[in-house]
Amino acid sequence: MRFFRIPAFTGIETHRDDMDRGSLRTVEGCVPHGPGGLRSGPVWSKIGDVDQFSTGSENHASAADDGQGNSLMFVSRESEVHDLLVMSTENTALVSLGAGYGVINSSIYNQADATLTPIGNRLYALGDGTAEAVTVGKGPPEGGHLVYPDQTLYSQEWSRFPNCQFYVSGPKKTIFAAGNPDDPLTVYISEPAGLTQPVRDSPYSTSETNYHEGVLSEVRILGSNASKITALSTRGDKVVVHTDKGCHILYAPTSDQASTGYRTEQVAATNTSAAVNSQTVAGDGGTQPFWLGHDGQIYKDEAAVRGAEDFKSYADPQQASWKAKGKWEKEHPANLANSFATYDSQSGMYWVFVKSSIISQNTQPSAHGPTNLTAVQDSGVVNPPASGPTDFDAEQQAVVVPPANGPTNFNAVQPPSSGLAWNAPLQDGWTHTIQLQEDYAGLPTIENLTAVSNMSDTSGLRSSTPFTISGTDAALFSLSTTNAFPSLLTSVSPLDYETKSSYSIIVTAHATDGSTIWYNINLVVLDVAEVPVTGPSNFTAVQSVINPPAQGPVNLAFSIPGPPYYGPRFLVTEPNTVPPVNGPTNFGTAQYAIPNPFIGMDSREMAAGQGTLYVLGEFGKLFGRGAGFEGQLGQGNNASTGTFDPVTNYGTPESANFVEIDEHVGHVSASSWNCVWLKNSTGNLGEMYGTGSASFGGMPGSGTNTPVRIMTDQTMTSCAAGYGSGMHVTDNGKLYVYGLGHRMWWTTPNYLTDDGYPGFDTQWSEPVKMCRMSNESTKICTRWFIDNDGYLFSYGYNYDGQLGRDPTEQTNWPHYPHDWVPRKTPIYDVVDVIADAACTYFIKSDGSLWMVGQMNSAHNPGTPGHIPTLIDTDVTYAASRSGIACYGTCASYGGLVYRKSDATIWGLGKLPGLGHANEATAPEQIDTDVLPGYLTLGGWGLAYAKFKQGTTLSIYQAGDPNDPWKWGLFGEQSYSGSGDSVPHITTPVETGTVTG
Amino acid sequence: MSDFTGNTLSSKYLGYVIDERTSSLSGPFDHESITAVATRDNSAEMYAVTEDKSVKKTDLLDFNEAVFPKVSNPFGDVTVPFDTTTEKGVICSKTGEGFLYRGRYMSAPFEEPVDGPGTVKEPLFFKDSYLAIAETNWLHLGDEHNEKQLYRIDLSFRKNSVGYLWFYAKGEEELIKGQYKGPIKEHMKVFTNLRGRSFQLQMIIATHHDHPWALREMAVGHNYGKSF
Repeated sequence: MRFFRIPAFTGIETHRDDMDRGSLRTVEGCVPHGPGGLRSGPVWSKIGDVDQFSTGSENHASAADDGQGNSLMFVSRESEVHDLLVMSTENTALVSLGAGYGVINSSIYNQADATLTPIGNRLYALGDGTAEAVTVGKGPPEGGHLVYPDQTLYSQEWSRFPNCQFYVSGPKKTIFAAGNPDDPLTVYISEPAGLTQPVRDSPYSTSETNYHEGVLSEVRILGSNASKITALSTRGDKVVVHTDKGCHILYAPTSDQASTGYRTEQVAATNTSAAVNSQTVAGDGGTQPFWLGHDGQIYKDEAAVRGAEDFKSYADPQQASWKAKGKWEKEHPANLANSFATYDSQSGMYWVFVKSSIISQNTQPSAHGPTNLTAVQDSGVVNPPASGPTDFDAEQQAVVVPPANGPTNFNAVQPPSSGLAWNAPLQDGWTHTIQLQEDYAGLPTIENLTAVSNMSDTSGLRSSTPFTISGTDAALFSLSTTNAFPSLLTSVSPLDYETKSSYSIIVTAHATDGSTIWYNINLVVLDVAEVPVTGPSNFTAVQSVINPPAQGPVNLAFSIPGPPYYGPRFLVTEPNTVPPVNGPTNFGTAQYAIPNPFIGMDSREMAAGQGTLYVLGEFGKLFGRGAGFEGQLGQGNNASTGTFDPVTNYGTPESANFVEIDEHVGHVSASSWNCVWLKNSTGNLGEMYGTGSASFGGMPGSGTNTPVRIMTDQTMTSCAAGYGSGMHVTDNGKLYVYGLGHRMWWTTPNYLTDDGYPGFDTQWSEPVKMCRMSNESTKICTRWFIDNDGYLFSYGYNYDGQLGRDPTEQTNWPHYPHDWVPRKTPIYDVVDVIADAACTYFIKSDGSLWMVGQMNSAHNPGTPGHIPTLIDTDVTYAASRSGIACYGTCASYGGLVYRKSDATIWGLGKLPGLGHANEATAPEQIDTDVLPGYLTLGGWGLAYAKFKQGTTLSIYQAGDPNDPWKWGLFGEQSYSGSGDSVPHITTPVETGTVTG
Repeated sequence: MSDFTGNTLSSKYLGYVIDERTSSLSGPFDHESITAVATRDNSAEMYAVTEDKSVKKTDLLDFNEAVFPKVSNPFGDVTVPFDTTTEKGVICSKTGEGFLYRGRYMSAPFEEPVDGPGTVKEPLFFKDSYLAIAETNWLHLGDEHNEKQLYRIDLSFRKNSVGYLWFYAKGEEELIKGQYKGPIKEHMKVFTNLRGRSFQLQMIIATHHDHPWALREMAVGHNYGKSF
């Protein structure tokens, strides 16, 4: 028998599969080792823990020391440490780490992972492009250093770089930086000043010269198809600029201008693919001899040689991974942006880590990036930035909260603790912004005022009261007076974000010669998640809404929504001389109740427009009274009817001054100047009719003053009217929307005269059984529907959580968060939903009434608006103002009335005219013996019907006869009362009757 | 021993290494769930932070010298399952019918792995371990024309190497021979009795996170001719 000894194993090789010398196709978890050998992976030993890290979107930094002069810094975000820095002291062994301490505990860098890149002087830049990068590190060892910015240590290398993400120490002791999301193809270069040219100013400097003229040059990568620079590295005396479309090379800065007009010459490189990010080519340890390219291959740094733009050269000679191509990268995810690497020069090993494709795809957002392809516009410039970032002054660095405590080996770059000690010339009116976390226990020192740099020295300040403070919030701060130097500027009370989140103070320094210099301090208090002193009330009940029953079928009977209670209709078999006199009880012997003939159809017996009241009489006769100037009374004219005002100086109270609009109606819904209703005249459920204003086209029935049937080919079971808009549900569960705002505000033209948009028939295919909408046109309006399973769906604006969904997850957060697509809320088992202005209420099948939105937050401090809060139980019906008619303040207060099963009605919130100057923060009883369904609330009044007396419905109302637009309550439009001031009708009075 | 059906945990990031000495690319390595890595100046020490926020270090010059301390069996009883939903490790079939590692599943030797889960017959459980896999390209053993009988593979490991070994050979006709060999010993022989002109070899080692192994030599014993 012969033996063939494998002479040497290789790494992963797929370029040919018949190698006979120990070529390996797979080398997982082991490495080639010596002649003919293999070895398992490295063995790691634990030396400590990272006990401080960011759990949110902010980048935080913490560190730990070993007591021997060695320190490790950890940059974290989203509960993951994504960058690591080792700052070592030679001739020591790093065995174990001590307790960690925070270096950056709060930051505004919250858009992407920020990484550390070295800039020399034992300092590292850290930024994600959100703002100018912060500098962290130990600083030079001479002591007494200033790291913000250090213009004394070696001033030639310092500059202020706008929002850059990665830096590299380039040739001639200059710093190159890039990654500004606002200018993604520009490299910024600190000016190479020298002894013979000490003034760093030149015609090709950047526009960023407001404070530091001539300190910074910029080089825009020209003629490239790239969309952004992804990394910088060095090679020889050149800087390699990595983009998403290959490399470019920048030559060393010279004292003369480059041929391109920029500071340095730039040329394209021939390599195929540039580094995916700074971490894989130039991490915290400086430039590495390899990088991971956008094509998933590992390149050698020698690949970055001068070549032609877009020249397709053979890639293998440039790649270190060429033999493994075709296999090893198969496990890579499409997005390599989160990869990271390090290089060890002793072993010659380049370790690169790529996200596992098994783990969900990387979702790291880029701060900016191209979205749509556009044609070249105007003079050939494709949407250049209107203006670059400017004013990179001292206060912009003040976003990093200094470490509260802990060892001081690491310093985050902070605004100088001795406020005016920086070397930038101080000028009157300078603004210095400071951010501090709210502090519950102590009185924070804001500034330690010692000297003013452009005064000759501290003796330039007068000895008595060298500083004074003034300005808006000066009374809230004090200056220590026991010592002339220093003077401590201190808050007189603990900073509390919820109490006051910003302060403005003016500090004036007084010189011995009587001159002064003043500057502004803007103190911004950062919010800290506080432990609530007391837990939110009704928490269990809230949970029961949010969480569906866990028990499945066991609780199923309780989770199935019950049919809405539409209220009884009294079928009287005896003559009217023997009517039921007390509602559904005390029937005569020949009398009995039958279900509502419209059962199965949405039912509302009373509705309020803007000055118009609609009410159903016996057996579905629809009556209206009040304002009719838009034809909303359906009388074939635009006349109003009834003065309907019980206050004597407004005339004689009217009775029975209703006009009949239609019959066989089971549901009526009104918006400001429109009315829609469902009727049954043919034995089939739900023919839909409408009448009213032409001003808001697109809504059913708009532009008519006589009732018209809408969409004759459909049978409706629910409908809702909004401000120039409407919705309805058909008997097969289809949802239709139309009119103003059907695609919501401002996304389509204001007036949609012909857009019968059946949008959600296509967007929402699951069966729907009820729809509702707020009568509101501004950026608080909402649309709702309930599906066949009783779940609540919503879309619209959600600034206050009125959609029942977390507004922070919405589009455009935090400015008018909205969602134009209906989505399922966690709210289930719902039988009715009442849309108000910035608030929403809903009734569950168990009769409980809940609220979300603005009123919820206002009445339950600490409760997020979108988390439902219980209002009351045993509720059968509810109505709201629905944000009707803006009311001068765009109805920014919700108002709710509801009926309980004992026939009492109650009010909550801003109730027009009911004696609540502001709002009722707890339910207040209004009246008794109110019929179910006969309850409505408009912008200027409340109306309801009490149990019938005979065949007469007695209508009661209360409200504001001095309404701003003179509609009266639900009476005739009147301009005669200008200047009158009569009491609100705080006690409901009977103002009309309906005999159907 | 009943079958095991399930999955194993994977690291979020997989490591690969370019070794300039051997001009090789190896990987993936997933055993420490590393999320950040750095090296120390003037040393070969590499530091890392893991998903559980542990800070760890290793000396890359340890690769140069494979002198391992003697340890008692760190795997414990490998027939006892561990919680694969919370603890990292690998599960391998004693009969070569299924390997679960880093969220992947290889149904048999030389089969292309797929994302887990999967079923492992006669499973052995290796907690705190990862799977090292080395698979050769086609070897004709210095004579690409003549048919050979692959008789056995001799393996020589460094003293005190730790791991559990599976070794297989595949002929041109896709016939696979080999077996589970148990804990690594200094000298091991794998009998294959496989015929063909060229062969592929696959070595699978369940490797403990804290205890390495090193293969010094692999020799392929074979005879010429169609039969003995």
